[in-house]
Amino acid sequence: MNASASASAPTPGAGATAASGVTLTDRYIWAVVRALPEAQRADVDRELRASITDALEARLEGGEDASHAERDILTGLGEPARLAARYADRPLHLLGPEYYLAWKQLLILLLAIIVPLAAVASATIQALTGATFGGVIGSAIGLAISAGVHVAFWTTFAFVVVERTRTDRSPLVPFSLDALPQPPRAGQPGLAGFVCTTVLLAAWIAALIGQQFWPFVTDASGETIPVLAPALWPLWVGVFVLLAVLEIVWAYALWSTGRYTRMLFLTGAALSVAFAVIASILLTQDVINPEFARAVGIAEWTGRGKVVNIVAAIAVGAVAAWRIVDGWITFAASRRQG
Amino acid sequence: MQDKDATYFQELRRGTAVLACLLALRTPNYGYALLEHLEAAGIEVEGNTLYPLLRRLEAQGLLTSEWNTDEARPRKFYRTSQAGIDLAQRLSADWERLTDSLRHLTEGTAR
Repeated sequence: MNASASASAPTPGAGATAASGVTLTDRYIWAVVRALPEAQRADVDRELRASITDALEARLEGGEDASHAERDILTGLGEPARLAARYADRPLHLLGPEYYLAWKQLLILLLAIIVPLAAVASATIQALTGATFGGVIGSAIGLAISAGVHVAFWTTFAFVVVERTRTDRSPLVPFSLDALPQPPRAGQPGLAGFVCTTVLLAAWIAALIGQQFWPFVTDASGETIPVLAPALWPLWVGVFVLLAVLEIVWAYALWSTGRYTRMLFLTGAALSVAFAVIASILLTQDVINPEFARAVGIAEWTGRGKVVNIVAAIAVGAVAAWRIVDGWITFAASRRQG
Repeated sequence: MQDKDATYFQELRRGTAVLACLLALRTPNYGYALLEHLEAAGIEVEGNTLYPLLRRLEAQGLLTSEWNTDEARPRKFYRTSQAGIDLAQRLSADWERLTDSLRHLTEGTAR
């Protein structure tokens, strides 16, 4: 480490454009230090420049071409922004492993609460102000997407700020053994099943009632033509709504009990049979409103003894049978486990 | 060294750069010369790792630095501080202990 070579000190940037007088090394160092706090810039610039010149000098002594050696050294130092991040001790990721899990859990929780709330609130307001069916659905979807994007952005933003300002690396929420979940037993019904069932049945109830009022199809005078046969309204439609409500109650009972009991199996089977029997009997008559069928051009398929009614009756019976068998298998399995 | 093994070697060597710097800089030295010195001693470390590392160790009080402007090119000389020497001793002791443990495992004898 003497200065013997100083007389023949190499000039970095033989490959620089003569006009600008700015060498590749100058440009590289600038790209590094501009990303650093003002206070560090001059010192890092001076030290890095010395290190690069030292390396260049060593390469030139080995008889290398100056321009080639400079390029090689700078390439070896890597991307300037990456080097700057190392100098400033800044993370090269958005969210590190310390915060990723907390971020993910909070984000899922917030999305699950806020997105459906936004959709329901928007749909309610639109429906109350007399919007069309399409308008209600459209505004619900629109607000749900916008709420989801906001929640995701601001949650992530908050975590990114915390990651870059908090010096303590311990977890935000300490892990606790008491919070460990219970492993599910085989055949144990979960919350997801209950929520799914409820949503589907709610949609079914809405469709049953809605078909009477929503103007899907109208006659010449603008009156709504119901989808279901007039003879079914309101008594038989009411019966199906009642059955659906009972199914929701049953699904809730199953979820809160946490396992298939004999009582749940029997009531579930009874509900299936009731639905299948009532539906099959009704399917021997007109279920689809003949006027509606004519209006949408499916009259030759529906009605007493026609293909739609027969297929529907078979399907209803098959679903009920499958549900009873499935219920029995689950019940038997949970009984074996004690 | 095969590609799929590279990670294991990288993980094993991670952290040795700090100890090597603390030991080598008991004699003051500057960035590029230290790089050469470590390489000659068989410690492979890249410039883009070493240069920021020196500044970080200095910020943590394990190294001290001084600009030497006597020569044609000003250079920043680093020297291991007393705190750095203490840490290096403890790290070295741990390294010895690990070597010992691995030798016992290699020879298949209980400690």
